[in-house]
Amino acid sequence: MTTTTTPTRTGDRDAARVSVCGGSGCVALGALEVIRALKSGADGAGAPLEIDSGPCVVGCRGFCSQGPLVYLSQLDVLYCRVRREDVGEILDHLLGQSEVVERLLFSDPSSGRRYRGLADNPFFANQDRQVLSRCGVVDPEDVDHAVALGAYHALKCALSDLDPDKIIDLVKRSGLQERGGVGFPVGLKWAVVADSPGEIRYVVGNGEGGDPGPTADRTLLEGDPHGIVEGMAIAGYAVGAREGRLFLRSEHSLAVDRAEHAVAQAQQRGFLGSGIFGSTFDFSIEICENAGASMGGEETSLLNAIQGRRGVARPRPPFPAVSGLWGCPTLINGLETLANIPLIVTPDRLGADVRPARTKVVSVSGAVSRPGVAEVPLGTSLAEIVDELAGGDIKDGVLGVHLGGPGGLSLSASQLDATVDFGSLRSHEANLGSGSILVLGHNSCPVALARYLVSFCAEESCGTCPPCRIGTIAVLNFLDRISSGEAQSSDLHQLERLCLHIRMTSLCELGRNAAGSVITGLRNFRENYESHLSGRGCPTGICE
Amino acid sequence: MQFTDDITDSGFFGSEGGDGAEALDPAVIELVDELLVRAPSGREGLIGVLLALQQTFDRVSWRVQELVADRFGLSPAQVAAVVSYYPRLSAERQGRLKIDVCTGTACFLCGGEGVLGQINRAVDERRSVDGEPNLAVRKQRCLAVCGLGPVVRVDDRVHTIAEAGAAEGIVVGLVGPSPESEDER
Repeated sequence: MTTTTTPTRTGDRDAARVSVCGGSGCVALGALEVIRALKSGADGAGAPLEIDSGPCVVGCRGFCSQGPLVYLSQLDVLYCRVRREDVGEILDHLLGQSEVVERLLFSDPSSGRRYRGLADNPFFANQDRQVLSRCGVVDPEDVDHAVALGAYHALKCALSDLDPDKIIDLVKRSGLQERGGVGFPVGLKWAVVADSPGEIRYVVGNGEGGDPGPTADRTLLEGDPHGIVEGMAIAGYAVGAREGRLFLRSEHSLAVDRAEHAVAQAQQRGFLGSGIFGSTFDFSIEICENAGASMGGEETSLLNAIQGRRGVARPRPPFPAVSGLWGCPTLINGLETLANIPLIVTPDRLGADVRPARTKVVSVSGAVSRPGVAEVPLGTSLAEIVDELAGGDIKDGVLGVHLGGPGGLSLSASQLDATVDFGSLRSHEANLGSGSILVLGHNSCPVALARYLVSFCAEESCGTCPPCRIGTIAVLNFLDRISSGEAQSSDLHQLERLCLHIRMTSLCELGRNAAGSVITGLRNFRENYESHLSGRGCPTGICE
Repeated sequence: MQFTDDITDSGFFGSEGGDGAEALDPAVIELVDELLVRAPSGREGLIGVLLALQQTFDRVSWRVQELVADRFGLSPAQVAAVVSYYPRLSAERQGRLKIDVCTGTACFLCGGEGVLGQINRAVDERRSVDGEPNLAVRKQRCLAVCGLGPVVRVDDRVHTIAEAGAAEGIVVGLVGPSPESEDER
């Protein structure tokens, strides 16, 4: 793991010598039982362990497939898939009474090699954890621990040393682009909101990435919710808003709980509320749970949902930055974007050299041996991520990747030299969207994948505009016929035209991107589509 | 299995669809008013209140929607429009025992659709045997256990679906063996 160089985030708590991941993946796999066993085991062992406050429960490390994870920070040993029965051996190792427990170390499924700590584990070693620097280190339910590791320091110095214009300027010069969607420049958006006329303004944290896969948002909320709260407060100060709304997916119940807890703690400690850090700035955050219709996180539908209405899209302009919640100028940023803000607005950045926003959180899943949520430097190629970080076999085992979730685009294996940044991907007509990288093995079928993704969009469609409401169903009908082998080659031509029409005529981003997987699939996986035609059916057998 | 379902089970909502003259149980009215105190002011609080009611009663019945509409100063149609739009709100009972099937992209790639079918079949079969009303199958977009997919979550525990018969096992684990199989014994 690349060690963080930010001076505000280096502290560590002695009590955290043993940390157990308490993210939803690890909890689902039994982390709570492990924590209970560690606590009772530590009590039995007494003082020498120095874990008198119990093992530290930390947020998601992103290595969810290997949970529950137990990390011994002073020995740099990461134990994976730990069960209650293993706790005795782990404590023996920690106390120096036995050697490292080999069978609990991460074993790479492809090579069989075992990795001891974070530094040698390729999943962590190939990352540059900036936004995620506290995830897996800090106790997400303990504001004091977060503060000890640097949380709210940026807010404090912003309120005491910087005026709003200066902050917007810093964000502009950092080159931060919206981490999600098409990568709109964040500083520019902030400036528009700040300049829009109106007494009242709002900041909305959009936690509805609309991706049915593992996401940065969930990892951040579960691992370091205070980073997001702090980012929202700084955004509020910069654009002149006194109220924020955090819009979250209700099915990620742990993430919602952690966010609520963090906001309440921040309020208690005076990081939110009136006169924050003795300034004249007031800011509060309300948490809004989504009742299940995400519309892919589309901005105008999200505003309707927050206002207690049906979450349907509306035409733009007016853009939310000018007329959003209750007609007031509203800044909408994704959670990863907001978590970047405290890294940009810190005291040592006041000089000429602004710290560029240089990383992107990605989630890799599919045909890889080390799936998970990771943070990589911008400019890393997809091949490096798939091969080196996630352990996919790009020479023989990968058919292609699908980027950016349901509204995203598919690239073939020969296009993996594209890099994770906002320019390079655009030249492939792709954008990273939520940051999800779905790796397709040779046993996966691009037609089945497109059918799944389009059906997701069809379900999410708010129904306002016909191209999306009717078009997605028409695309599904085509895909059904292709899957069952009934389609002819002329159908592919018609399907492509239909998809392009949907893209050109839909009201919002959800509709415009709904058929993106089909358009790029037809282009980059043409052979797979054609092999389904004229009664031949699916070569992999998945479509049947 | 027992649930804190007294209010609904004792028929307070049972008479809806009749002449509509029956009053709601005072406890329900009290609950709604209590939720309103904590909710953000104005219409913004509507969805939060409806979600809380859905969680308590496993639905937001028409009578309760009318009550909520009255308290928010909206028409019943405006509330019904919201309830019918969001997948997590429903005027009909969904079943209290939720089987969450992950249909996220990673689980889909490893056969999540097939698992959803298996679970649905097992639940349908069970319903046809004893009319079991409490089971609900929900599609979830990602349960965050992407390396082990496809997975199913019941009561905060994640089950991996590797072996055949796992779907039936999950259903039996929730509602016990079916009366038929007990007869056989």
